[in-house]
Order: sequence, then C-alpha cells, then structure tokens
Amino acid sequence: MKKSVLALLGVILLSGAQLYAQGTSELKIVVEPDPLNINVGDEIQINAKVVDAGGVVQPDTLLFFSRSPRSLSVTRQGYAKALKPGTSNVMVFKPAQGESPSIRTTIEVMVTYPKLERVVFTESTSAMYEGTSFLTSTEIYDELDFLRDDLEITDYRSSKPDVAQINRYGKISAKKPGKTTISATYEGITSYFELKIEENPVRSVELSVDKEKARTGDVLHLTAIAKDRRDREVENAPIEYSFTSVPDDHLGQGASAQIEQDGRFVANHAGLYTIIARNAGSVDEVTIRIEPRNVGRNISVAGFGAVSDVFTSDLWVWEGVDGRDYAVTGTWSAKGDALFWDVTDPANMHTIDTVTVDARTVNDVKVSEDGRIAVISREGASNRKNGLVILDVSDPSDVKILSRFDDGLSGGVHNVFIDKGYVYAINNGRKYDIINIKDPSNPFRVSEFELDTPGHSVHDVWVVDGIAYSSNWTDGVVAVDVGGNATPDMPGAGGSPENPVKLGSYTYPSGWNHAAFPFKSKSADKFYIAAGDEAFPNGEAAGYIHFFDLSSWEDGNEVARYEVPEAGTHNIWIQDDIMYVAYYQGGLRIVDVSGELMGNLYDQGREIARYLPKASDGKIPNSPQAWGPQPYKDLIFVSDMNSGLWALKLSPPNTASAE
Amino acid sequence: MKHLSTFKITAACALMLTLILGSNLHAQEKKIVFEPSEVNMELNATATLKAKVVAADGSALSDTVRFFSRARRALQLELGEEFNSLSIKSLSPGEFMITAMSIGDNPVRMNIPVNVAYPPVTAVSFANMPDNYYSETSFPLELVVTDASGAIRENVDITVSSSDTKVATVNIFNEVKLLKSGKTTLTAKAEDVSVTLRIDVKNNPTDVIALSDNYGDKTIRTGDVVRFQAEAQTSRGSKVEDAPITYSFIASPDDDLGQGASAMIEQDGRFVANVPGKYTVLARSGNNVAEHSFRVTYRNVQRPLEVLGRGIVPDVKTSDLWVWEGVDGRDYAVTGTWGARGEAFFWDVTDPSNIHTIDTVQVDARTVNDVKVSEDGRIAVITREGASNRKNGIIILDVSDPSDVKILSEYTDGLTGGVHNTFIYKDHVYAVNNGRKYDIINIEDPTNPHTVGVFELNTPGHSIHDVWIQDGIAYSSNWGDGIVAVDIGSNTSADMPGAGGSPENPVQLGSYKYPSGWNHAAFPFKSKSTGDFYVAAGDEAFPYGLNFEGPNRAAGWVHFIKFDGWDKPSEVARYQVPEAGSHNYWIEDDVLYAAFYNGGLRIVDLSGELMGDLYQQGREIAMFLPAAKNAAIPNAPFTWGPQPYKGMIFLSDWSSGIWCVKLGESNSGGTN
Repeated sequence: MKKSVLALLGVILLSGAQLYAQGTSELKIVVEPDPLNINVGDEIQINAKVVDAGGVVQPDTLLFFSRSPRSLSVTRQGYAKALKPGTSNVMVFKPAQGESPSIRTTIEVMVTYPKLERVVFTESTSAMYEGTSFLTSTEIYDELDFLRDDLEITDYRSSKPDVAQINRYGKISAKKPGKTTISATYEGITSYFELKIEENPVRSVELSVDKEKARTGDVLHLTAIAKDRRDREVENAPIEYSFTSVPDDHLGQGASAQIEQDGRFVANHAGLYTIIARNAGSVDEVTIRIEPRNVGRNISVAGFGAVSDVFTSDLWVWEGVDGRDYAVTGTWSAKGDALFWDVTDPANMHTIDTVTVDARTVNDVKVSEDGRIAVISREGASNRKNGLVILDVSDPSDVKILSRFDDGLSGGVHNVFIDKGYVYAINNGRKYDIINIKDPSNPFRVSEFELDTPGHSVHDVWVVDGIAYSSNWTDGVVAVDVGGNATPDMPGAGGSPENPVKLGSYTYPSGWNHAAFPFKSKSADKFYIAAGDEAFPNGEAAGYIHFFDLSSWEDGNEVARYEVPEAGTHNIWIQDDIMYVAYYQGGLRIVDVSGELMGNLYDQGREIARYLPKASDGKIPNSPQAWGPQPYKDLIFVSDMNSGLWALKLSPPNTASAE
Repeated sequence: MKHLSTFKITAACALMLTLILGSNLHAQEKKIVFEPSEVNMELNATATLKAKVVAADGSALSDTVRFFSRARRALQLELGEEFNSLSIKSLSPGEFMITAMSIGDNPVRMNIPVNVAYPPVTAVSFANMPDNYYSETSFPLELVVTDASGAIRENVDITVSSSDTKVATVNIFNEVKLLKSGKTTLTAKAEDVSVTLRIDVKNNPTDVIALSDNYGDKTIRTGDVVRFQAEAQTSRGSKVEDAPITYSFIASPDDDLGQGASAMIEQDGRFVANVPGKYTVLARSGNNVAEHSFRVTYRNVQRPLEVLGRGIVPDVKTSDLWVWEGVDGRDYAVTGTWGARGEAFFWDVTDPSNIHTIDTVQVDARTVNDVKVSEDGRIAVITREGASNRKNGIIILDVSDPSDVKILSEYTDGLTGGVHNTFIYKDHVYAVNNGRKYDIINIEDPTNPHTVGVFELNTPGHSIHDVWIQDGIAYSSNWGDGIVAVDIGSNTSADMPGAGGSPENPVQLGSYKYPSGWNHAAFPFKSKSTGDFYVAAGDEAFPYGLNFEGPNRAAGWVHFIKFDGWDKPSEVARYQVPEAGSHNYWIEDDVLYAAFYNGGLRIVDLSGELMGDLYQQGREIAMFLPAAKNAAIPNAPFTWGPQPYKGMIFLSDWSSGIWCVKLGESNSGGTN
C-alpha cells in the first residue's frame, strides 16, 4: 500500500527521458472503468490490461502508482483505497521487456466529496477598537471532517453594519462602539461570533525601526507603540503596517519590498522606503534607506574531473589518513561504479580507483569522520539484493570491499549517512534503518525509524549533533533524536541510535521535500532548517529551498525561500551562514544566508556566486545538471550528472565584477 | 581631427572590447607605463597622455598602443602627434578610465584613471514646492544644485534644517514632516552655498478620504494594473484639491510561506500584483485613511506549445530570419549566418514538419547578420560584414523564385564599414551604416539602388544598431542614445502624429534613452486593449563574454516606454527573464514574441495597462528552449529572433538553426 519514492522518482525520470511510446506503439493500456468514481473509505481493485492493435490482451505485467498517495493509496498491483475526497491521478505503467517498449497511461479517480457540515472561524476576535480593522479567517469542513480548502466563503455579514462592517473577504471595519454579530455562510451553513466595538483610546502612534540604513535582504523590525491621550501605552491596540517605496531604479522595476503585519520588513531593491504604522486615525511613519547588499564574489574553476560515459550522482570529499585530499562520486543508471579521485591538486584531479558493484545506480556515497570507511548505496541490482556496501578507504587508491549489507534492504537504498559508527540507510523509500558498523565487516541493524502517516515515504537523512533530519516528500522534514546533544535552545529527547525519538516535523503543501540541512545562524539568534525540493513537473527540474525558523521542535514556521526561476533544487550544504546549493540546470548557487531570513532570498541580492558546470564532451554536452555541493577546505566541490566532478574557488569578498 | 573617428568607441567596438576583455590577453611579462601615471584635469580642458610598452627588465619596446574608453560621452580621445600619445578632452566631470592595449605579439592591457574635477557649487534652490503646507503630512524636498559650469549636480551632499522643529522636521533623506500649524524656515546647504525658504503650515482641512478604482466588481488578475483615485474632502464634503495623498497596501498572498514581494503601488495610485491573494490598498492624507480590500486571482494565460518542425544548421551559427509568402503562394524563410562563410539559406517552410533548404546564396562576408524581404515577396536584402575586400554593404536579391535566388545588385556606396541591420519599406532600404547612422536607399529599380537620405544623431559618441519601420516612422535603436523615432513618410494610420518627413527628408520626432545604454532593438505597438502607444525597447548585452564554441549567457531585458506624445515618454514596465538576455522580438495583437538568447523564445501577454516587471506577473503564455544534439553548438539555446506567421511562430537560433512552433489552446480554464 505504501508507495516507494524510489519508484516515483524512477517514473518521473522515465517520463523525462521521453520514453513515451504511447501513441507510436501498437500496444496500449486499457483501464476499466475510466474514470473511476468512488467514496471515501472505499477499497477497489483497478483493472488494467495491455492490448495490441487488434485488441488482443498481452501478458505484460502492469504497475500502478498514485500521484497523490495521501488522498488515494494504490499498491503497485492496483489495489486502491480512497483516503480523501477530490480527484487523484493514477499512473499505470508497463515496463520495457525485450523489444517491447515501456508504455504508460494516467487515469482519473474521483473520490466523491461528502456533504458539507460546518463553517469554522479560525481567526476571530471578541473586541475591537473603533476605527480599526481585523481580518478574519474561515474554514469549511465536510461530514467526514475533511477540510475543504478548495472552497472560499464570500458571504460575510454583520448584524449591525453601523457598528461594524465586514467585506466579502472577511475583513471587519469597526465603525462605532456597540455590539454586533459577525457571520460567515456557505451553502446555508453559518458560523457566528459576537463582537464588541469599544471606544478607541489611542490618540497617537510612535513608530521606530531597529535600523535606519540597511541592505537588501536585511530584515528590519518595526515597533509601533499606540498611546492614549495621557501618553500611556495602549498595549492591545492593533497596528496596521504598510509602506511606500522610491527605489533607485524606478524605470519599470518590479515589486521592491514586503512587510508583514508583525512589523518585519525586507527590501529587494535599493532605495528609500517609508514605513507607515496606523491605528485608526493615528498614524506615524519612518523613512529608511536600503543599500545594495553587495555580496557578489567571483568564482573560478580550480579543477575538473570529466566523467563522459555515464551519469554522475553524489559526491563526498575528505582528507585521507595520509593527509591527502580525496573524493568519491557515484554513478547513475549505469554500471554500478563508484569512482575514487585524488583531488589534492584540484587542477590535476584524477581517478585512482573504481569500485564496481552489482547495481545500476550508486546513488549515494559517504565517508566516515575518520576517513577510513565509506558506504555506497545500491539500486537496480541484477539479483534484486540491493542494500549498501561498506568499503575500506584508508588507501583510496586501493579500496577494499569489507562487507555487503542487504538484510531487509533488498528494495534498494537511495541515500545513507554515517554518524559515529552508525549508518542511517533509506530503506526502499519507506523508512530508515540504523545499522551499527563499528565493526565494518560485521554490520547489524539496531533500529529503524518509520512514520505512521498514510502513504508516507522518505528520501534522505542527514545527521547533525545527534539529530537526524529526514526528508519525507509530503511529510516534510522530520527531526529525530538519535543521541542529540542537549542545548538550551533546542533540547534533545533522550534518543539514541537504538531508540530514535521524534522531535518534530515541518511540512509544506507541494510535497516535494527531498533534502534537509539544519543550521544555527552565526549572525542571528535563529535556528533554521533548510528544506529542499526535488521535482520534475514538466520534465525539467523545479522547486526551491524552504527555510523553517524553529523556536522549538514543536514550532517551526516557513519564513523564507531561495527560488531560482526556471530551475530546480537538488542537494544543499550550509556552512558559516553560506548556503551551497546544487540547482540542477541552474548549476551551483552560493547564497548569503546571514541574518534573519524573510521572503525570497533570490530577489534580495543575496547570491554570492553561481557556476554552471558543463562540458562539450559531457555525458550530455553543454547541459548543467548539478547534483550536489560540498565546501571543503578553501574550495567548493560539485558533482554534476552530465559532466562529472568540479572544484571551484571563490574570490575574497567584494571583488565581483558588477553585473 | 583626422584620427578622431578612429577612436570613437562605437557600440560595436564596445562589444568587441567586452569580448577582448573576456579573452585573457594578459601576457603580463611586459607592461605599459603611462606618463603621467594618473590624469587629473579640469572640465573642458585638454590633457596629453603618453604610453610606453616596456619589457619585464624595464627596456622600452616598440609596440604600438591603442586607447579605448567606455566613457565616450565624457572623454574625447584623439591620437597625439607623438608615437603612442593621446590627446584627451574632458566633456564631463567625474572619475573615468582609459584602457590602453598594445598591438602585436603578447599584447598587454592596462587601465589608467582620469579624474575630471567638478566645478564648485554656485546655487541651491527649492523646486516644485507645494502651494499649501498641511499639518500631519510629509513630502520629499526637491533641491536643485548648480555648479560653475552651469551643470545640474546630483552628487553633492545637501543638508536641510528646520528653524522650528515643533512645526516641521527634516530627516536625513530630506523629507519634510509637517507636524502642526505654524511657521518655520527651511535652510538647504550645499558646499558653501545655502538657501532658505519660509513656509506656513496650516491645519489639514481633510476630514475624509473617498477612494475609488477603475475595476469595480471586475475580476482583478495578477498583472492587471488597477488605478486607485483618492479624493481628500473636508467635513462639508468639498474637495481639498492639493491635499497630498499617500498610497500604500497590505498583502495577504494565498501562498504566505516564505513568499517574496507580492505587489507594488505607485504614488499616482496605480497598483499591480504579482501573486494571487487578498490585498488592501490604503490612501492617506495626514491622519485620514481610506482603504479598499479586494482579491487578486491568478492570471491563467499559459498555453501549451508544440514544435511543428525545425531545420538544423549543424556547421555554422544562424543569425536573423524572415518568413514570407512567396509569389507562388507557398511559404518561405531566409536565414543568415554568423561568423562563417557568408551564406544566406532559403527554406521552404510550407510544411513546417518538413522544413528544408531550397537555395543558398553565398557572398563575400563572414557574417550575413540581417535578412529582410519586401512586402510583395519579390525582393530580399541581405547585409554583409567582414568582407575580404572590406567592401561590405548590402546585396539585393530577386526571391520571386526562392529555389533559384538571383543576385540583382550589390550596393556598397559609403557602406564599406559594414551593414549590421536593414529594413525594407516602400521600395527603400534603411541600412545601418557602420554603426553610426542609417542610410536610406531607393530600390525602386533593384538593379540600380541609390542613396536618397541619411539619418544620423549629433550626440557625442553616438552609435546605432538597428532600425524598424511602422506606418512611415522609423524606430532606430541607438545603444546609449536609446530609441529614436523619425518620420520618413508617416501616414494617416500612424498611431502618433508625424512631422512631414520623407525618405529624402527624415525628421526626428522623439527619443528615449535609459541608463544601461544597452538599447539594441525597438518595436512600436498600440495596445489593442487600452489604446496606449508603447515602444518596446530591447537590450543586448554580454557582460559575461561570448564563447563561440559553447553555451553562453546574455543579459538585458525589454523596456516598455509609454508615449503620451512624442515629447512625453515614460518607462513604465519591463519584461526581464532572470539570468538571460533579450535579443529580437515581435509584437502582434498584444502578444510579445521575444527571443531571449539563452532564455529561448518567450511569448508574453501584453494586454491591458503595463506596469512593473511583467515576468513576475504570470503574463508568460509559453516558453520554448530550442536545443538540438546535432546543432552547431549542441544543447545550447541562444535564440536570435522570432516571427509570428500564419498562426505559427518561427524562430532562428544562433546555435541550432530555424524552428517552427505553435501555441495550443489554453487548457487552464483561466479567466483570460
């Protein structure tokens, strides 16, 4: 019933590889009935078959995948269960066999919406001051308690419009002291709350800002104090923040800044900004100057190791026990190779050994803290025994296989992490196993961590300070204590590798969470998790980095993003308030993530440098497809699917050529 | 002055310089020594700079030195009498740079700073002050500083103070905040010059703000420009004509999870949103505020795009294209070639799934940059650059049978410096001559072309890149001088009034320039949906260099200039594809078809009023990245030019050749 992410990725990649034989093949997939209409809770077997041009049924095996497993779970054999109302797509896929090409089709399954039951005010107030505004918020639920976020209420009313008015968007304007009833109605279902309008004691507002001059991307904090006629603070007076802008470039320039109603402001462009704080008829304003952030730096290629015959996957760079610098890279959909490189002289990086295992893809490669042990992951093994392979890399020019561990991992291992003698291995895209490798020739599983949400899946796991941060597509980032170091701001929960304890999770609507990297800001008193997407919605990579601001494990707010237009994220690394992100066709991006974060960092002049790795003789020529970055010593290494391994060097700050 | 023209940096030279700078010519075992080592001079003065190439051991070498400067409007460079000397005339004050480069083996390049002193400030004045000053309002001061040369100075620190800070304060940004009624004196000081102004602040008579907009109950989509109109009124309902109004807004975007800036508002009340959500616009005068809330929906104009066909040019780079219906009713295209063998390819594109060449014309040139076909489909003009005998100019072709193209004539009279672009309009060819002017050539008898007029700007260091004609008005693109509209025989269908010009007597109508100086193309259009007249001014720039053998990245965007009269241009919007750069484009029926080099083809909804960055507003209808494995540069889109034609869109791509695509029907169920 649970869908493998690996399988999903496989299908996505197959789709992107233009294997659409449908329409050109004489074979086709017939699904009955199509479309399907079922109710929440129904369980059915989807029937599909492959027929040739004459309608003769073929003996091919078909695989089924749900596009929205949280709404409609579907086994690979096509057994479906309706979990939520709405329309879900199910892909039916016939793998290639001999000369028979792969084909696929997609069907719609409509899960009937139950009858609506109730309207709920999620934002309301019992009292307002005259002359102020309040934005309500509502939700609609059906009889099965499902939120109908596809519906929007526009029928808002006030029983006494002379006391308070409410517009079709749910915004209340308090007109004069008195009492009224506010209602929201959808298809005859109504919810109410009582509202009292009080005389407004506010006679003035004093606005201050923590900086009068700042740079693009700097988050400014506004403080507005409402005062009564005796100059005493009115503590519960609502303040409305807005701003006007005079950007330096005013010639058709786009939107230049944003402000939140909690008083945070950030600008994308240099210029003068006037912030306005208002309570009813009391207004104050303050003007600030925003300068260009000016963090650009030049970047140059220090070395390149071409891989021209196969696709390259992940990388790891480390200092060997002999003091020299080494890297290992995996390969994707090829012969099962892991390549070992001497990168001590990046201008002369070269392979020094190759380990070949029974796999099509060696997706992930990791090296232990002491530089002696490496773990590589296997997918697509000929005997379906995937799992991981543990290597002795104390001499990277003569790598030895110490052991293979495939116990319970035969579905494939997509990613791994090594931390303090344990391997955290993604098991078939459903959970991660924790494997003791203190004796690397005799690995054994000590525990596993798996979510209990419907249709859950996991893609990656990364361990920092004893906390494992896994990336779980629709379930987002999940933080688990596996032996966490207790810190006052983010305490652990007594977990260990043998006893992983969940701390919190951080989801977002797209369900594209593929990578996670936690960091404590060096410059702001903030603990963030950067949650990276992976997605190929139209055959090209899409998605961005989401930044969650955690005030505790239970309280994470998505406050910022780094979104390169028309490109898609893959792996990330953050060190010293600098983010290194492999952005597939967007190449490597190096981004200043210092200070508090808010809004889209891409728009704020925070990009320090970028590099598009490409080679005319690459596996795919001239096509950057950056997979993963790793800052290492004074260089940045990047693996690129289409070209191989790159070493890059940033120039000192403030040396970039003007763009 | 005989050497002056040699050393004017034209835009073409600027491009070349960019390429040179990017090509690592630093063989720095030798160097250039300047005398003096830094040039400091007064405005409108002349200074002499001497250069000497010396070897690593300090011995003088005989290498010739060439001088360049990007500051061609500020410094006039002329070869000096002595070997490797330069005469510099200062036209503007400021700090500039001259680049010197040795010629020959192991060339070296060095920069030398030139500082032209600013004259002292002679006057400061308050400008455009309001008639009435109302309490609880604020306004920015406009201060005009003039120096001894008569120039308006914008780089001088000005301090302003108020004599009574209970009545008015002035912040460090020279914004005046009027606190209460009363009188105060404002004093502005720049260098040693000061000026005072006594102001009388009155109580703000505004009691209420009436706020209206031009959308009513209509759906507002991303990219729709909503015009808000606020009227300040007294307690008796009469209008306060001069009450200052401040417009601002509050955004509640549907996606509030780390979303970027979602909308913008101008102080004339124009608002536009980038993303869907709920918005509240506030209009304020003093402590009086009116607000209006509304929802903005997704624009939903995206359409699928289908590739109908392509003609891959695998061995040379492709330049411009023209597609036309031949005299036999079939459809044909011609494409030029770049940095190659001087070929123009003629294609039969009647069946776009079977685009194929039917003839090739080869001329003595490295680049056939531009290709154009006459309105009747019988005559084509192609341009020549890099001819072996330095006779460039244009070639006039008979294309009435595109499978058997005949050369009718070659015209090089005065055009030997190279012709980069042309346009054919009513039996005349408008040919950009050596990047400095355009010649107007009568081709009524295409075997006997002759020049009848010339249009050239008189600005210092001017240069021109392209010219496009619509309704008898020529719109040229002039790098730092921007777009220039010239009447060459405007007709009654022209969207803007003419001035009695003709091919023999071109008359300038108006112009608009913008700071980057990257103006490379121009396309005029009258909005079908608003009636507004715009000129789209496109950039071309390669700040990252240009690799002839691999993928590239360009910069720049399309600027939208709204003309409310030839003398009233305003730059109101842009279409800027991030990390790519604009080249040629075409506008038809409120749709922009833009070639964006590494950004491929972009098809953009230009309907309605334009404001802000259209890229951010969900106006993109479709995009297409032409890429082919067997192209001259594999997998490297570098789109040169588009042409909408009979419901399809043809495009030429520098790396790969000619493509034909077609928009499908919208499947988004949108509101457009």
